[in-house]
Amino acid sequence: MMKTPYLFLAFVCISLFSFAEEKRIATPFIFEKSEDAPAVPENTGIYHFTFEGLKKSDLSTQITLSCDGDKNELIELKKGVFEYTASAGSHRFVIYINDNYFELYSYDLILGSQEKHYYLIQVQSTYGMQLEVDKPVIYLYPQESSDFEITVEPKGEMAFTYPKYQGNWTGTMHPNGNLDIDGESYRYLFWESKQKTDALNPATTEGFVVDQKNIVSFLESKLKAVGFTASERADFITFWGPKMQQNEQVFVTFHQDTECDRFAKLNISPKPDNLHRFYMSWGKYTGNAIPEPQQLSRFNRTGFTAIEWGGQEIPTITKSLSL
Amino acid sequence: MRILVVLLLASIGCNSTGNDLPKPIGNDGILTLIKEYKSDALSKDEAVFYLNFNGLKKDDFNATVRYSLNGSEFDNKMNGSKLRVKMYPGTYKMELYINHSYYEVFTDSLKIDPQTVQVYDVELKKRKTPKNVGPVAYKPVIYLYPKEATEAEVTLDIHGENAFYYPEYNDGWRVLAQPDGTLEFEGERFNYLFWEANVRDHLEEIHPQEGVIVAGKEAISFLEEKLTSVGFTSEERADFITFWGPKLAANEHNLVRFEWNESCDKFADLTVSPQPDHLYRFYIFMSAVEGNYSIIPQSLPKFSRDGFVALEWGGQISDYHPKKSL
Repeated sequence: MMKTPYLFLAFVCISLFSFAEEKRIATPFIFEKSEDAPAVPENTGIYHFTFEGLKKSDLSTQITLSCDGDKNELIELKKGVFEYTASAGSHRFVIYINDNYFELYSYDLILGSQEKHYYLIQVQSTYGMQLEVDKPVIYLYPQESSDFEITVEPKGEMAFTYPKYQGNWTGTMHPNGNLDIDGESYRYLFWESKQKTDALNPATTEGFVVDQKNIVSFLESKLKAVGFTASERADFITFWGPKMQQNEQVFVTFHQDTECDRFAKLNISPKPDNLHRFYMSWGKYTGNAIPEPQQLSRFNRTGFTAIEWGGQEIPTITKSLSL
Repeated sequence: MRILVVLLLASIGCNSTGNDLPKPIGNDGILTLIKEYKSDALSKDEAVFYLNFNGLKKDDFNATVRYSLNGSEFDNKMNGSKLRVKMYPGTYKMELYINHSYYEVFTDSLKIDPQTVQVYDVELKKRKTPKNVGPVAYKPVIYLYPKEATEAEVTLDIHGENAFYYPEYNDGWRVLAQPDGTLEFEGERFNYLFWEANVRDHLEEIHPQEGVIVAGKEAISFLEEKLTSVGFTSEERADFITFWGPKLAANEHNLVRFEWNESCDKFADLTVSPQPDHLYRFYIFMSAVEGNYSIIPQSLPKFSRDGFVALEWGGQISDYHPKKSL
């Protein structure tokens, strides 16, 4: 039985779904049912929350909750369930379980006097999300023109390649960076794949929190310091800059050289004197962690040099509740 | 059969800056009462709305719908494309929201008697984009190929918002252009100049009669063939294909239409000085479509590469959905 629709006839919430939480990971709080709760005092009601998708080890744990932006409360979760008594009216919750899950934000949940409302909360794991490794491109700069062969073994399925990758790429490379393949000339080789990845945690990962307005200058200064040429930098920044700039704030962390083996193995023959790989993981970030600044090493571009860059957009773990 | 027309509002005001006001849209959504019957399974103080959503994407089957009854909010999972809402008999205004892909639906007052089930068809309208101006005009890049090293100035007058430029744009780009296409800008060498902005949705505006349907798995061969015939070099083609190929390949079928030269002025006026012998612009417009449509093929231009050539390419992803009979 639902009495609440009658209690709040006056609410006309045209902008119900336009609130700021949209930039956060939306978590459904699914209304299941309500029942009478005569045991609680008048003008008071009970929320009954059941978490769905928790790991066994997290079913009975301590969680942190803030109701209507008030101070944090520590609450014992029992078998994935807890109850919360509140005044009749509408309330909004922020719930943090631990870093295995994204923080949860509710919209306004309406509660009637002496009623118990049951909600199902679907948690979202911060591990093992299927994401795209975007636009790794490979440049080759030999000392003199010669034939080359490249193989890429991505950790996931190869989604897109150009020029077409058929077990390898072979062709002739030139000191100016031009690559001749099947009678055509290219500046780079391109591949993309789908891979599993974990959410970024700015509180525990070295990196940078960057404001919208500083994104281009940030990328420019980092890529310059690392040793990208202007045209490589333009390829990188024109690909990532506009996407990143759609966010008020982003968290960025880089991966260099052998660390990039986690995305793909890259074999180049003949072996370059210097092979430099540079990947960027980034995601919009609304928290206020101050990550440990990351030290980047500079490319050595002497001799036959190969450069690869790539990146991926990954959700970040935000903990707006301070513990 | 009774037909209730409901207002479908564009609730676009979803970012916190508050400057993008809801954009009124022309089409009204329709909520149609399909049938109404008494059910003994319901008690005297119960009634049921049974809503069937038309136009729901397969991915959204069984999704959670957020709805409100006279202002009180609830979440409930659909069964396929159907939502069952049980409440007291009475008169209700409902708001229905599935996710960001669809416009929110606002109903008129719906009156329902006790122990009654009302079955409605709800026509969903897919949302164009959360942006206020329209989708992004993606990655227009500009190449210059003078006959000899030339100090050139490139200026843009973008008919859109939220422009992004690279390298830095100060009322224009002033570069030293080399015959091989290298652009020297503030002591550094670039291959192209780049801009991006939100501009009006082109396919929605023109309802194209001409274009082509391209299967995702044929994206590369399609683009290679078209760009080669138009006269792109292999480097330009690679820049274009590595950008647009994955976007086309992501859909089973795409509606693709090209625009070139003067017809691209509606997105941005482009001026190069000194004036090139040829200033070419070539834009791709794409939207994901379900199944195959017949559409009149476009005949594409052929770009001459003689003399001082400036070439710009770009494009836009649209949410345009053509009717079956184009």
